[in-house]
Amino acid sequence: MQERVFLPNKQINDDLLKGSFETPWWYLAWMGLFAALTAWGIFAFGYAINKGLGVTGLNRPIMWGFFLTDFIFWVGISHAGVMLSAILRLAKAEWRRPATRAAELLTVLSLMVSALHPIFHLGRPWRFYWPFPYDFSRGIWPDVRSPLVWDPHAIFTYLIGSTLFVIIALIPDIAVLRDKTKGVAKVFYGALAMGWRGTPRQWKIQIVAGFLLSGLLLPVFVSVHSIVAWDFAVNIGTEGWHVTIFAPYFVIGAVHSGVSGVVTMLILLKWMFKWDDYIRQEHLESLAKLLIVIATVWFYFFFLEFIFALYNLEDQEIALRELQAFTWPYNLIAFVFLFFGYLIPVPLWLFRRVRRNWVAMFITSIMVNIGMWCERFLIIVPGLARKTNFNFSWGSYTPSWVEISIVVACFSLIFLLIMSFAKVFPLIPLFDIKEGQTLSDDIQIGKRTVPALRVEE
Amino acid sequence: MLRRRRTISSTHHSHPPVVPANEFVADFIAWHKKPKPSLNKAIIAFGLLTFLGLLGIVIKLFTVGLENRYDWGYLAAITAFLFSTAGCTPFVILGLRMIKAHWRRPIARIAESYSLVTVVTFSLVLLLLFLIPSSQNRRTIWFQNDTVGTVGAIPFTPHLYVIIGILCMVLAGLGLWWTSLRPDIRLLNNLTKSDKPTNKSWVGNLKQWRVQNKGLAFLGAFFFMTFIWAITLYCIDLCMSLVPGWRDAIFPVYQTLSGIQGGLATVILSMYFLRRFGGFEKYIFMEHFWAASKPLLATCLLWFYFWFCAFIIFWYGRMPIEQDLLQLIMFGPYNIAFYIGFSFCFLVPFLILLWNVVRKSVWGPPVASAFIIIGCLFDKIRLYVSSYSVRDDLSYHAITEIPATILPNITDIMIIVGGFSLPIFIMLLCTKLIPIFSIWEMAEGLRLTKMTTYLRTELRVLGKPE
Repeated sequence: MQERVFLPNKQINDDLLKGSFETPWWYLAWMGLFAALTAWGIFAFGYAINKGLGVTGLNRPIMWGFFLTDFIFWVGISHAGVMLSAILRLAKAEWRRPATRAAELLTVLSLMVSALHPIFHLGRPWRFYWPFPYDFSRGIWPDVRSPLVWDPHAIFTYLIGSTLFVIIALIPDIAVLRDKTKGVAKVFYGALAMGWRGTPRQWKIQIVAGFLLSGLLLPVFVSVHSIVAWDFAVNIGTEGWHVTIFAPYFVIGAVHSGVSGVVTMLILLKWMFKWDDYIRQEHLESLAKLLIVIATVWFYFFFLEFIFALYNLEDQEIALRELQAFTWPYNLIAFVFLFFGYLIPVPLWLFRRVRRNWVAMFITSIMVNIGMWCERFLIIVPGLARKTNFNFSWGSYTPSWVEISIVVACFSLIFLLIMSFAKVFPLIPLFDIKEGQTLSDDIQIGKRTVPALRVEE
Repeated sequence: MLRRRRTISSTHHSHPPVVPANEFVADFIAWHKKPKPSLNKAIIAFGLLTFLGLLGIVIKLFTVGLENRYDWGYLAAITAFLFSTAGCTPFVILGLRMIKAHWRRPIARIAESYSLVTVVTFSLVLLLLFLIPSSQNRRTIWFQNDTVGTVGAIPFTPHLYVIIGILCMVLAGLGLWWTSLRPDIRLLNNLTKSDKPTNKSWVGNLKQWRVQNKGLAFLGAFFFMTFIWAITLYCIDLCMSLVPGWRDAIFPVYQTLSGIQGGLATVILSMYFLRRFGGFEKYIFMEHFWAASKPLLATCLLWFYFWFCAFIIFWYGRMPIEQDLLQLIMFGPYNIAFYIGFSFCFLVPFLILLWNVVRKSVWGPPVASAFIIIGCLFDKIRLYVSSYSVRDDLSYHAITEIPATILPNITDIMIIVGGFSLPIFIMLLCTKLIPIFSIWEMAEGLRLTKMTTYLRTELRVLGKPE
């Protein structure tokens, strides 16, 4: 059921720019909390630099733990932007409009945060630039055959592309802010608006740039998480990793968690800024329907991955799956992963009442991301814990306070950055909402009025 | 000064004027009633070719029997081809119906009618199942012995599961086709004053329409699941598990995607022929081809992606077992089939569809579709004929030697020709016997479309009901 709301342009400007012009008490309180948590994470990282990685729970043979689990998780969340913004823009799905900016922003910020994790993980973080061919004269070249070198290139390409995507969509809204502010703010927004006057030519270029970037970002979006998956899958030494389906399985899992992240964020925005006219139940319902499809495809991929792990009936593979599914504490994590990631939310989303319920959707979308985080942990740690031909010994892993602090700080940093962004720029694209209203129409069939859409060829 | 009105549709020649729904119905009924001698000739020609294929199977049965699996690789390949082209067309239309794409309307019936092909495909699978060993001492996804008396044994594994899976898909497809067809059959009977006692129960009241809508949604969801499941079972139990050491979790996904690509290509080609030879330029126009070309381009890219995901893991891992597999299914005895499949499923259509000017034409997407369909056949040949040619004991962990190329003999060629002709024959038969346009869906679409003027631009308005 479409609940169309037609609002005058002035009201749209006032409502959506409220975040930039008002600073309620709760805003400052939350900012303070997130800033404190982030500062604590910075302290923990400083401590790890000072003392070395020995202060973390990483040990031989489990050299990949919380940091890389979190790295994959945030790369996954970053897939929300392209999924929602680029694909739905190319598909001309109308209901995408209020969600695009939040999705694009989540992409950029989560990519930035994910890129920090390999640096946390490095024993000598000041040498983070080593994967790049930085010094031709000495003839030092990174090993381009290693997926660990492919990773940063893919992530930074995606980061540059998605940042451009955000900026291009922001320009018309920045121009509105420029026209509504005075003094230093006007100069600031004026510089960022880059001379936007809203002429037909400028609009045309902006639209074409948006479409081109949508098309160009799609392969990058697929390649980023595929390459992250190949970090694991091209490795033949660790049980459970050398699997052909890993790349698309990671990509679709990333989309699942990313779109759920956008749902969480949209609901929070609606509650925080009282944007009831902009983020409506129809948007929530469409996102939930999309999530049902994505989650089910993801579950099919998980099923294939699991079945084919056991397909050869090799003792080591069976033992690994037993470790993941039946041994404490992995069995608890596996339970959370399966039930939170699919078995609870998807059956609930089948009910229209749940799809249109803000609280239920908020809870289920968070559940999905808890489940997906656990999935990444289960992929990484149990595989490394077992004794194999290459590592000679068994291992166990318990994260230390340093890792937990840094992971929590990364979550806080994301919220901190989102809230800071909301203070400066609108989190719902003004021009997109106005365009959506302009393109709306009705068709009269008998006694019924059917909502319709003016189609641009 | 007179200003010239800018009409987007007229500049792009994409959308002819919106025809009133009643005019369309009258127009179509008149076309349907009109005698079509060339259609009859085509039906006879393709019927004969299909019969030739059937004859090929019968001759093969009597000459080589069901003793050796490697004699039947081409039948397995053509069965997989039918799954991946005609068999998948209802899947394509379900997806479009789910996202409420208006451009699906002229092709909905064509796509659903291909469900009839799955009945024949099912019969071919039944024949192939005689060639498949039981689950004893070999790898299957069923992980159990089928020997009666052992713990957890289910007799006829994996045959039973394959039959159930594919039968469910066939029934769901037929149910979908019939549910969608009912209103049109009744309308046709009413308008042609036919005395045929078919479908008298349909009167078109609100309750019946609601039930029909729900039925389509339910059967659609069921077909969606059973189709993926059927393809998964077919490609694992009747292909991958016949090669010792082949463990490729992405293979079912790759085969499903190949099916979606082939199904879309089949739909586009059918749409082109209906427009070209049926004279439906007023209802099937450039916009339909343009819209269909975008998912087609996406499937080409995804085809490459899924292929590459498997390739890079096998190639990078450098394990002998995987290198042998790459030789068997890609670079060894069936390399020519692989190169043709790769070029026609990905490279050529990608290079064709890359250009918007080509996508935005009536001829571009059908040309790319023709390449894809040929590529799909070669892709199935390199996968299925190669796996059926392996003579190693299935309890081994790897293939001991890469078998030589099996070239098609005369009966195989008859089977391929028959398999290729079967969907065309069924489609022509449907064109003669039933409304090949989904009349109710077309009329609904026309009612939900109007032209409007915004500032100086003429725009099309599309209704988007619930």
